[in-house]
Amino acid sequence: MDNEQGKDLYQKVLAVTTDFLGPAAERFISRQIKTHLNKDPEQITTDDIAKLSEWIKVAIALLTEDSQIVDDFTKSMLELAKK
Amino acid sequence: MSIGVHIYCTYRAFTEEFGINILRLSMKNTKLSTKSLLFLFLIHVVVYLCLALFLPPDKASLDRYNIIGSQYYLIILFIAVPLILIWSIAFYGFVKFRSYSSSIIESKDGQALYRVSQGLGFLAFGLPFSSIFSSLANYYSRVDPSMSELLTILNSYISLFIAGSAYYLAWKGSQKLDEVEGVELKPVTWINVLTGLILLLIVGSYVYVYLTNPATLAVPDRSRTSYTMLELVVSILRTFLYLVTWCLGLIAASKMLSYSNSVQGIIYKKAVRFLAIGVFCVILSSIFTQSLQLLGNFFSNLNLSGILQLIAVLLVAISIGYILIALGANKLQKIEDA
Repeated sequence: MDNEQGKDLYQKVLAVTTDFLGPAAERFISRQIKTHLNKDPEQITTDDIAKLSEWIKVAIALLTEDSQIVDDFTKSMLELAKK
Repeated sequence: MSIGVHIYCTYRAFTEEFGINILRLSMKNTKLSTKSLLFLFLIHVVVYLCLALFLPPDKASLDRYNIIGSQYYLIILFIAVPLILIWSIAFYGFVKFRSYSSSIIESKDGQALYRVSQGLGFLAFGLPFSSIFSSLANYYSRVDPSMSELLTILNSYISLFIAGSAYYLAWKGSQKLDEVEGVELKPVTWINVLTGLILLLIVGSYVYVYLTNPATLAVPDRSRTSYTMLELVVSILRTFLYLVTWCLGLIAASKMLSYSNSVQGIIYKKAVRFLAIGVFCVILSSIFTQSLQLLGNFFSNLNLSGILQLIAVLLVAISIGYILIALGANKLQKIEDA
């Protein structure tokens, strides 16, 4: 069941990331989860979302000068933790 | 010996980097390191400079323009330096694009973009290679005038091979963009209209020239005005092959732009747009340059210096295209490194 929830959550995280990074989303989010959370992407839980959002915020800020995009991305990620 | 080294190095590049074994006519995925590619590129530059500086100048040209030896070598350097700069920019853009696409080669978009980068690599290496062959062809034509026609035809078919390989690889890569997940390539009307107009313009130019003065395209020797049926057929075949390769190139260029329009991801889209516009610019400029060079015989009676200036502008456009490619590849690489 946890595995299924993890997969489901990962797909939602991926969907949010795809809106910003397109085909690079899967590679980006897998890398962030493996590097900063030390787990496989599909083992992610809602408790991890806050920490992941912080790391993603830093990474996205390096990719764009538009602070609105950074805020929108972070906000979309944090909303996943509430669901 | 330097020519032999150059030919060997170019053969190795074609075989190992682009996966095309000329002798066995087979293709496979292998690649050279960036250092090897840089070494090959530098060999091309050195060979070109050696030929430019050490081949004896055409005495008839020196007398016609009243130029002495030292002035001639200054003019050579004046032409060679910006030319080498343009080649270097093209090489840099290609290497950056290749580096990015090979870093994501496991994925569908990586495989597609890697093929496109291989095509651009052919164009990038083709620039110095064509200049080297032209220098040699001009020299040997002076030494043995009976070789002139053969060397001109050979030059034209080598350019056709380079262009054909480049546009074929770019087209193959662009076809794979359809397979990228989440991307539904929507044809962009203005791009398709522009591509169609360009093709119409080029085909129209050739038809016009063939109808008004076929000798200028059928025979490479400008002093001749008569031609045999075989020469005309060979010329038409060569033109047809060029038109086919240019079609492939234009399809690849327009698909890249469609991809940048259709792909998801606000940040990714901005980065890939640089790449797509760069690819479009390089392919379009290359096609125009090649078509002007092929029609050179026709235009030589009109205003050769104007055509040469136009070719120079197109070469600058090619280098701008490669700069955009490098910028796009750098932005995309940052996403992969973040």
